[in-house]
This record gives sequence, C-alpha cells and structure tokens, in this order.
Amino acid sequence: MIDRYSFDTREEFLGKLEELVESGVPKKNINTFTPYPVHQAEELLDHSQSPVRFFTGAGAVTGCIAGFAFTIYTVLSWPLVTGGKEVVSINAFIVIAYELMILFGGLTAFAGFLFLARLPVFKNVLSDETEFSRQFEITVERGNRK
Amino acid sequence: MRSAEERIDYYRTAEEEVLAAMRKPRPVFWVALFISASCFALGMGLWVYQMLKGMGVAGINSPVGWGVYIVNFVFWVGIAHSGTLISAVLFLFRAKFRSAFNRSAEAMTVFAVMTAGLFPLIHLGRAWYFFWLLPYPNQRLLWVNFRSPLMWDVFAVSTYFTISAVFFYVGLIPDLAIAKRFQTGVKKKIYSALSLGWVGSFKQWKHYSKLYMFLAAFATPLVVSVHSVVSWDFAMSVIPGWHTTIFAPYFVAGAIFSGTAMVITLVVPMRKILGLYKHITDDHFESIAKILLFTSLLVTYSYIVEFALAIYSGNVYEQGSFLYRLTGDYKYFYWGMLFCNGIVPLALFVRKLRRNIAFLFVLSIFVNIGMWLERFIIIVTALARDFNPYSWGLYKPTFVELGITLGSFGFFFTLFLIFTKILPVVAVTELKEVADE
Amino acid sequence: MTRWNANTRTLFGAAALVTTVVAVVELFVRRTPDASLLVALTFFTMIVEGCVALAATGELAKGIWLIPIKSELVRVYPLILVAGLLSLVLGAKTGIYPWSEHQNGWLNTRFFVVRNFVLLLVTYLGARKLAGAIRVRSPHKNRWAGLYIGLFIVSQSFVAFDWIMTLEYPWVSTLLGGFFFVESFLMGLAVSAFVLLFRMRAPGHALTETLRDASKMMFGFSVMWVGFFFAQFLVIWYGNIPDEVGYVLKRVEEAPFAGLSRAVLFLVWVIPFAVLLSRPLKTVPPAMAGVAGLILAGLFIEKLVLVLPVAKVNPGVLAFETIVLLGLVAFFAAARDSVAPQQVAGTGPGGPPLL
Repeated sequence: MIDRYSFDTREEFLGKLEELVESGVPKKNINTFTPYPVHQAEELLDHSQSPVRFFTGAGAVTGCIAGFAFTIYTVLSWPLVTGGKEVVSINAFIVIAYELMILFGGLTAFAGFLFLARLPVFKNVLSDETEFSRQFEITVERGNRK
Repeated sequence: MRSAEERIDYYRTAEEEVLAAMRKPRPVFWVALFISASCFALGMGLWVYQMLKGMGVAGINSPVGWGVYIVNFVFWVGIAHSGTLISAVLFLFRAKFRSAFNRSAEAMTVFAVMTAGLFPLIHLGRAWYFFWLLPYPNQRLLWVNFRSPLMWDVFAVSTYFTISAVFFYVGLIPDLAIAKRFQTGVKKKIYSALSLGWVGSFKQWKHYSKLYMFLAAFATPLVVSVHSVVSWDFAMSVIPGWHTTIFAPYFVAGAIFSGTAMVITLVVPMRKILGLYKHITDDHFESIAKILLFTSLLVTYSYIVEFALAIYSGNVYEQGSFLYRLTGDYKYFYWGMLFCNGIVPLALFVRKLRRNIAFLFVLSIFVNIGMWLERFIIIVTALARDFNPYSWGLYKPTFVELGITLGSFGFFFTLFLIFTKILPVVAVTELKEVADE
Repeated sequence: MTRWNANTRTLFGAAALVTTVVAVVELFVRRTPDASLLVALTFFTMIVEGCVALAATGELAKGIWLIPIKSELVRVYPLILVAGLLSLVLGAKTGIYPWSEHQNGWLNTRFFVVRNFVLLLVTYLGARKLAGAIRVRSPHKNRWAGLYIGLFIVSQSFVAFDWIMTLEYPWVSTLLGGFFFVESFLMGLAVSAFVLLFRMRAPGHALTETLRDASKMMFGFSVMWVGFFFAQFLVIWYGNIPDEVGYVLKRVEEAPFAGLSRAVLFLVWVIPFAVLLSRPLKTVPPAMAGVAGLILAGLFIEKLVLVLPVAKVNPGVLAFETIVLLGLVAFFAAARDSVAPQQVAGTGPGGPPLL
C-alpha cells in the first residue's frame, strides 16, 4: 500500500514532508521524487553522509600507489639512465602518480555512485511508465500495521 | 522571488524551450554542418595524403621539429580547459551564473580534447605506431620512459578525457531523463537507456550530489595539472624561451583565457539560433567577460615578466630569444599576439562593452586568433633560434598543415553541431534548481 | 579578547613607535649589513598586503563568506606604509646583495630603494582608497578593489624579484613573483583564521559557515602553493642546467637547508592538507587557527631558506623584529572601535577613521 502526494512547489513538498516525519512515520518508509536535489529533504530524512566518499578515497589512494609502484617497478626492471636523472626519479613519477590518482578516484566514485544508487534501473529503462517528474512527490509505504 | 505559478510555468517552458532545440533542424543547421563536415573531410584527406607521401609535405624540419601540429595540440587542450573551469570550478565556488553555460562548456571540453588528441597522431607521421606511447613492455621487455614529459602528456590528456567525459555524462543523466519525455519510439528507448532509468528518487539524488561534488573537486586540480603537464613539454627542455618556471601557471591562465573566448564564440550564435535568450542572459555574458578580462591580465603579466627577466638576467641566449620574438622573422605574429591578447581585452574594463554581445563575439574571435599565435610564437621562435647560430632556421607551414588545422576546426564544430541536436544544450535541471533559490 | 577602545592616535602611535624602533635598531644598533630586516620585512609586507588582497578579492568576486571579517582584514592597510618606510631602511642594508659591488643601471642602491618605496607607497594609497570605499559602502568599490589587486600583484612581484631574487643575481625564476603573491594570499587566509578564532569566542557569533569557507579556501590555496612550488622545482631539477640548479641544490640537498625545506613542505602543505580534509575539524576554531599558525611558521621558514644560504641573519634581531611587526598586525586587526561585536554580519562599520 503506497500513499502518494504530489506538489508543484518545493515549499508545499517540504511542509508535507515535515508533517509526515513529525507524525512519526518511519523515515525508511518515506521516499521522495524531486526534479532536483532538495537539501532540506536530505536533512529531514537521512543525515548520514553518502558512502560515495569511501569509493572515491579508495580509488584515489589506489591510483596514487599504483602510479608509484608501476613506474618504480618498470624502471627497476630495466634500469636505464635517461637525461642524467637518477633511475628512480620520484619527481617525474609524481606527475604520473598524480594523474592516476585522479583517474582512479573519479572512476571509482562513478562506479560507487552507480552501485549505491542502484543504477541503471532496468525496470524503468524497459518500461515507459516511470518518469522523471516535474513535480515534487512523496511516497509513503504503509505496510501491514494498525 | 517568483510566485509558485511562475515557477511551475518556468519548469515547463524551460524544458520545452531547451528541448525544442533538439527537434528537426532548420536549413541553417544543415548549411553549417555541411561546411564544418567539409572542412573536416578536407583535413582528413590531407592527413591521408601526408601518410602516403611522408612527413616532408609538412613544413617541419630541422631546427623547427615541432610546428603547427603541436601548436594545434596545445591550442585545443587549452580550449578544453575552460569548459572544466566553468563546469567544475565555478560549481565549487557556487557561482550561479554557470548554469546557463555549463552544458555547452562541458561538451566543448570533451570535443576539444578529442580534437587535441588527434594531433600527436598526425604529428607522429607513422600514426599506426601510436600504441608505442602506451605503457606496456615491448618485445624486449622495455617499458616506456616515464621520465619524459611526452609520457606525462599521455597520462594527463587521457585522464582528462576520461574524467571530462564522465563528468559530462553524469551531468546529463537527469536531463536525458527529461529528454526522454519529449521523444517517441526508438529514440525514446535510447534516451531511456542512457538516462539509466533515472527518476530523481531520494537515494539517487543523495549519492548523485556527492558524486558531482567529488567529480568537480577532482576536475579542478586535473585542469591545472593537465595544462601544466602540456607546458612542461616545453619547460623541461633547456633552450631559451622554453626553459622557464612560469610556464605552468602561464599556460593554465592562457588556456582558460582561450577557452572562455571559445565558449563565447560558440554560445552567442547558439543562443541566437535556438532562441534561448530567456535562459542565457546578458548578465551571464557579463560574468563570463569578467573571467576573460582577468585571465587576459594574467597572460599579459606573464608576457611582461618573461621579457623583463630575460633582459635582467644578462643571459645572452635569453635576451637573444626574446629580442628575436620582438624584432625577428615572426615579429608580426608576436605583435599580433600582444595586440589580440593584451590590448584588445582591456576594453572589457568598460561595463557597457562587457554587456555588448556583438562586441564580445568579435573580441572572442580576436582572442582565439591571438592565443593560436601565442602558441605558434612560443613553439616556433624558440626552436628557430636557440643556442648555436649555425643551426638557426626558418619554419613555414605548408598547405597540408594549414589544411589539417582547418580540418580540426571542422571536426570540432561538426561534433558541437551534432551535440546541439541530440542533447539538451542547457542544463535544464540546474536551471530549475537555480530558479527556485 | 578585550575590546580595545581604538582610536586613530593609538594605532598611529603604535605604528610610528614600531617603525622608529626597528629603524633605530637596524641603522644604529646593528650597523653591519645583514638580512634580518630583509626577512622580517618581507614576511611582514606579504602578510599585510595579503590581508587587504583577500578583502579586495572578496569584493570583486562578491564572496559572501568574507563579509563578516572584511573590516578586520582591510584595517591593516596602514601597515603597508610602515613596510614602505622600512624599505627605505633596507637601503642601508644593500651590502648583502651581490650586485652592491658591481652596480648597474637597474641594480643600484638608489634606484632600488626609490622604486620599492614608491611602489609600496602607491600600494598603500590604493589600499587606503579601497578601505575608504568599503567603509562608506561606495558603489565604486569594485574599481578600487581591482586597482588594489593590480598593485598587489606588481608590488609582491617586486618583493620577490627585487628583494629576494637579486640575492642570487643573476639567477632567474620567472615564477617567483607568482609564488610570492600566492603565498601572500595564503597568509591573508591564515590571518582570517586567527581573526575568526577571536571573534568566535563571543557567544551568538554566527560565524561557523564563515570559518568553514575560510578553511576550504586555506585548503585550496595550500594545494595551489605546493603546485607552484613543484612547478618551480621540477623545471629547475629537470633542466639540470649548471647555472641554475646550484641555487636549488643549495637549499634542498645540503644540510641544514634540506631539513628546513622539508619542514616547510610539511608545515605549509602536508599537515594542512591532512587536517583540512576532515569535515568536522573545519569548524573548530582552535584547530583552524592551529593549522593557520603552522602555515605561517612554514612560510617564515621558507623565507629563511631563501635568504640564509646567501646572507647572514642575526637570530635575536630577526626574532625581535618579527615579533614586533607581527604584534603590530595583530594590534591593528584586533583593534575595534566602541561598536559592539554583535553587529549583524555584513553591516560592520569598517572601523575608525584611519591614516
């Protein structure tokens, strides 16, 4: 059993949302559909920080380590002195490690987002019914309760 | 503060007006597409000609081994940068005016990087050996030289392309879901698939907002590092005119300068043709003009510092290199560069001119030309005259090089024109968000 | 923090006193030319100009976050004149420069002193116009802000190229000017953190978001600083040109400067980066002021690393001058008139009429 409320403006939407939260409806039963992210709704429903940052951090650290590891390993596996620089020239490798840090960090952040937001939603892709609405909607799942 | 009715109405009209641009194109579109596609085809033809005949058909030789192809490479990477600036950096600074431009700017970034990426291949000559640039052990188990700035370029530009493409796509997801509403049949299915079934639920927006912030936070140091790495292609050498510490920020400022000018060049006609005056206003252009002015001043500062310190140092080679730029074979290009980049943009101190769209458009053309000349001057004059007078020489670009340059513009504009027809050119979702604040 | 009942005379008196004392010490007590004044004055000029530059940038970019602390930042502008007057004293110390023995058209004592004094004087006048425009909320303040930023960039470039780079004449680094004005800006941000530390002791301050924004800016500029540092270092290291690389090697490979350089990197980038990544710490005033303090310390040591391999410094005199000049900055920034600090953010009066 799902209750749906639709509003044309953000203020009405937030008003109803506050009302629902205050009336004791469990937050995990409330879902919202908005044309853009409404930060006040986030504060009302779920303060916790998104775990995307863990994916990002892990990717960035991996990229940085991989950058140094890869360059140092390859240069030691066949040590050639070019340009009079020492074989393990960290200053030069910093550039490579930096770029890989950003590359991996960005890609894992994207992957993390897809995973956490459970995208793509194949049901929506295949059917034409669910739409990204212009209105602000709230749905409340009322389970078997009194 | 608009009333509720005005806002609801705004959502619908914003969507319709922006997405109307994606309907059947008018003749002017086909003409523009034909012209740019022809230029592109010409460029490709000349490239094939070069591959068949050899690099001799290009003007590069000893001592100027890097010519117009490298100029174009740096030019196009520079153009790409301001797209990321407008998108990512202005997002971090919470500058609201960005939402009128950021979609076009992001598209410009992706297409400019693709264009730039062609040039190392063209310059290689034997383009089929391009994979030697990728880090893998060859049959003698010898890896690439990670100490080389050219290798840093490979990593930097590929990272930049990947992250820009991801950033562009992520920004598009909600707008693709809106675009789906205006399509039917197969097209509807395609947009539906591309939008990943986006519905704007609570969880989706929560993680999306964080992702967008992280991508913007990554893209910002990426922009700075990529053009710094490109500048280090030159600064890591020892020849006068190239070996100087200011190159990294100088190139980054120059990139933002030329890229902002290109945004103006693209968006002014686009706004006119697609009738988007309500969403891209003169106020937006004034803000962009201020960025143009500021970066012009930074670039002028760099010109002055480089020249002054070369004279101050008493180093015969540095002094010679800079005097050659001012009075030597390429002096008209140098003066043209100073005029287009340093003098003309000073007009932007006048508020009326900042808000005069026709003036901004003409100025942006000047700046694009001036920045191309700047890259030419830096690259060619330093190589034409370095330490030993016996090895001095001239460089004259041939029709092949100039034709391929024209082809690169054709490639870029073809991609951009196609973009205006298949994707929403303004970030509608962000427009709604900004309208409600 | 006690509220000083500042008025023009107290501030003027303090500035005049400090200027006179430092000048007397340098001219009469310590007659041998050493670089103590150079280091102290460079550091002082950078902090003071940086504070005003931060306020000017806030005006131009319409940075809302800066509004609550703008008056404190702009208030230090008369100290630019102090810096100018002390730069005249620097004329007596040009013995530390290698060019003092073989002077030429650009590098001679008289021109050196005159051009630097005039530049600082003009920068002071620009800052004064800006402060006045901010105080009366003039519609033309953007013009003065833009002018000041231009003067700031030129003046900081001269501090870098003329005061510091000529110590190693004929060595050239074209980025040094840019490096110095980024450092100066970072110093201005560090001062903001201190200003906020004091302001946030009063209850009902509503400055948490301001501190968060200042911390983010400090993070960004610290990263920008290390980027500029690396750009300079990498180019010189890679080129390995004998004429040039010696100057860097002296400061990075040889003891004791190697250790000091590493310390600079830690204090200005590594530690602030690690600390400022944390979200909750960004709004804790003592933590942010601590980071700001480390940044300032690191930047001071960096000046020593630039100067010491070439010129001697008397530690006692340097410490005295630095403390006294920094004290003056603090005195000016903290001086408030009799208006209550609970004034609504954004409507601060800008302080008493100054010089």
